[in-house]
Parts: sequence; C-alpha cells; structure tokens
Amino acid sequence: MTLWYKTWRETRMRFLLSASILSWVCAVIILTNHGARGQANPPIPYVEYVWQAVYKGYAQDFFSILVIVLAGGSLLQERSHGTVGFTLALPVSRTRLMATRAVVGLSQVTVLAFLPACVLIGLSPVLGVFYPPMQALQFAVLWSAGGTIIFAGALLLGTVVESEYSSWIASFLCMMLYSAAVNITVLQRYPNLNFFKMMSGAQMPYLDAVTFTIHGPLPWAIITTVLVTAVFLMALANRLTQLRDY
Amino acid sequence: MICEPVIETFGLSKSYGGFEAAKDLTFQVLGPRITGFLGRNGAGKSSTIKMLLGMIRPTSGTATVLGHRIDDAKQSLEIRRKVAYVGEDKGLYAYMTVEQLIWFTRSFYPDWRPEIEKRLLEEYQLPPRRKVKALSKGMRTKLALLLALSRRPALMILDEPTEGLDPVSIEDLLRTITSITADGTSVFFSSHQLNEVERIADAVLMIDRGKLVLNFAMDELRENYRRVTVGFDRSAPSIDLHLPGIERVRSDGRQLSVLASRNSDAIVEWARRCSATSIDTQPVSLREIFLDTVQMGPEATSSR
Repeated sequence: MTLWYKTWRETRMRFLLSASILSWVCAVIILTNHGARGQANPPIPYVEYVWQAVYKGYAQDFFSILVIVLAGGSLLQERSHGTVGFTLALPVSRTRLMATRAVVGLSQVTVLAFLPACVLIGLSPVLGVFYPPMQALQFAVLWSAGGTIIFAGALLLGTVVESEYSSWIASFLCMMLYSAAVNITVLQRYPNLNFFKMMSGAQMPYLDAVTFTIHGPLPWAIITTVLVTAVFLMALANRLTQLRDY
Repeated sequence: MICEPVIETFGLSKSYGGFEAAKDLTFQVLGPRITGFLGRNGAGKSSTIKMLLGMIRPTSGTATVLGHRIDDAKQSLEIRRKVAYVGEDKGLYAYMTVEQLIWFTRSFYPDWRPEIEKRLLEEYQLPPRRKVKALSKGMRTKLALLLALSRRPALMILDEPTEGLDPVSIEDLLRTITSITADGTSVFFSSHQLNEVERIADAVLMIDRGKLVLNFAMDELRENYRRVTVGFDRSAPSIDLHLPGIERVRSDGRQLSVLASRNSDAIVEWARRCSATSIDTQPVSLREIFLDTVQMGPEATSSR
C-alpha cells in the first residue's frame, strides 16, 4: 500500500500539472471555436473542428509530450536523487517497484486520456454547441491505448538514461523519429503502424472522413496489438532494471 | 559470547569495465559485535556493501548474509528484511515529512518496535511534521538510524555513517552504535576515520584497491601487534620473511622496521643473533597499520 503512496507522491505534481495543461489547452480550443470555425472557408462544423484541433491537432501533441513527462522517475533517476539506496534496501523486489510505477503511471495516462472528453462534454453545452459524448469516450479509449505505448517507450528509456531530463529529451527525440519514420518513409502506406493515426483515426477505416466521427466498433485488434507491444516494452524495462547495478 | 558469522564472502569480485572495485574478497564478519570496514576513498567499501545488499551484482564469487545467499532473489529479500542499511548519502525521500517516512518504512517490517521509535524520536528531537528536505545532515542521519533501529535488525550495515557530521553528532552516533550490540545486533560499518574505528570496533577488515589486506580483532591488535625497530652498526641484514607473524618490513640503511602481527619475541631474538646495536619494541596503533598497509599497497601485504 505504501509503495503506491510513494509512487503517487513522486508523480502527483507532474500529473496535476499535466492534467491542468491538457484541460486548459482543450478549454481554449473549445472556447475559441466560434472565431476559429468562422475563419475557415467554408466554415467547418463543430465536430470537425474538435477533431482537427483536439483529437488530431494540438491537444494530441500536448497529450503525447505530457505522457512522456509522466513516465519519468525510474530507479535510475532515484539514483541521481540519492534515494535509490534507501529504496533498494527495502524488502521489496525490483519487479514490484517497477509494477507499482507502471500501474500508477498508466492510471494517470488513462485519466489524462479521458480529460478532453470531460472538458468537451462539460463545456460544449455552455457555449451552445454539441459534441456527441459517445464519440468523446471512444476517442478517450483510443488515446488511452496510444498513451500506454508512449508511456511504455518512455519508461524503457528511463531505465537506460540516467538523468530525468535527459530521459525526457531522449523519449521526445525517439517519438519525433518514430513520427518521421511512419509519416515520411515507405511505412506511411501502413497507417496501422502509426499509433498517432490510431489515436486520431486519420486515414483509418473506422473514422468517417465526412463527419469526422468514429463509426462502428472500436478497432480492438489494433488496440490489442498496441497494448501487447506496450507490455513487451515494459517487460523489457523491468528486465533491464533487474540486470542493472545501482 | 558465542560469535557466529553474519557475513561470509567467497571470492567476491566486482569490475566496472577495466576497473576492479573488489578483487576476490574472502572474509567472515562475526556477530554480535562491531566490525569496522576500513579503506581509503574508492578502496571498494561501498561496492562490497552494495553487493551484500543486492544493489549491484558481483562479477564473480558469492556471499551469504545471515545465512542467506546474496545471488538468490528470494534470499536477497530475506536479507533486506533482516538487515538495516544506512547509506553514505543518507538519501531519504525529501518530499516526505519525518512522520510520513516513519509510517512508510514501518509498513515493510512486521516486527517494528513502536516503543523504540517513540524513544528515539524524543531522544533525537526529530520534528515529526518537518519535511526531510528541511532537515540538516545530522538530523537526516538520526532519522535514518531511527528507521534502522526501530526494526531491531539482526545486522546493521552503515556506509560511512559519520561522513559530513559535526563532532557532537559523531559522538552521538558512535554512542548509539556501541549501545545496539547489547541487544544482539551486529554492526558492520565502513569508514576511513581511523580513530572512530579504533574506538568502537571489536574487529577490523581493511581493504585497499579492492583487495582485502588485513582482517583482525582489535584485541589481537592490542595484544599481539608490535613494531620492532632494530638498529645495526652496518647495513641492516635482510630478515627472514618466513618468520611467522611478519606483516611488513621496511629497511632504511642501518635500521630495520618490522611490523609483526605476533611472534615479536622471535624477531627480537633474531635481531640479537644478528648483533643488533638497538632493539625497540612498541605497540602499534590502527593508524600506523593502516598507513603502513595502504602506502605499501596490497601486493606487499599478506591478508590474514
């Protein structure tokens, strides 16, 4: 129980800050919708605007970066804070330490993924516009899956890069490289490999390109593949943690 | 008092790339008593301690702590259940308050003793609601000791416990260390402060450049270790290095200085046979042995 508390205490500031930033970004996008949509020629519907700005646009970029920030704080970073000796002297296995870190982090990622839906559902009626709540929740599920793999990758890098800031930079650079690889190279022909597209639905058969809404069931096969890959990355991070000297 | 081994190492070695932090360490630490682990900065003390606690993996060799093997994950957990460790940097979670950290640590040890916790909290005058980051280094050391002692550990391992402390805090700490063996707790502490080790240790292990160079009981030092200085009216003859008890010999023209761990009478007898003009036998301090050992290097020393 207390390990959960320790992990929460170590991550709560980052989590609360991330949640505030993402909520603020989504709120600004929604509050400025009238002006922004009006400038487009022809003016675009609210649902399309939300998709462009939130689920495929700035909010998704912010979400990805904030997930990287949430994944910081492995045992290696504890070493730079000078507390790793105390932690490793506790009668707790490294696997349990890693599992606690992963569960707390993924819970925070999931909350972050559902925040845009909460802001949309709460704020849209106030401004006299409507966004289908079911759509918001479906995108939240897709973001949770995408956030999970970004978190897993950043967690893995956090076990090999010592400083917290360096691990954030390394994770960010890896994400940029991945994004370039799947958008510029021959891989762009395979949108299923692009988890950013999985999150937004862009070029995916489950997104209606006219209404910008998800139709039919969620792509469970893709989501499962993404989650399995994330589990593999986290298992690798755990293995490296077992082998490492602290 | 029956002394039983609390730590046993068998050829324990650790390399970082080409650098050997610990080389083929084989020794026993007996309990319940205080054993000082001496060595210069970078001699390999912390690496050895970290291997014993499962924080780093030995390159070769193995060890047991309280009968549990360090290279077995389950047994390593058992070691950490029974051993209290206070690290060199006293790194505690800076964001927690004193009472939060006590609550956190207590949850891992079912045999936690609240009465010891309460007594030490008062004795050390630790403010329960103050954050760890706001504590001085001396206070942090006291808090680390409270966390360690409230569990009534079978073995306490301290890595450079007095590092960075003021003289009053050092005095308090040494008094605490001395008192805990009365409850049956063994203490293994690393230091390069010779006077501290000499004051409180019952036994001493000395390592230099990763190698064990000396291993003796302090009583043995006081009773048997002698420096025999022999003068001649000619160049000093070479001494038979196979005489039992000779640890080191230094020749300086007409004078020979012999450090003996025992058998100093035989060395005196040898000097007389060689027509020495002066023979002086003096007890040796830990400081002398240490300096002699580290200045000459581990290759010139036989570990005992």
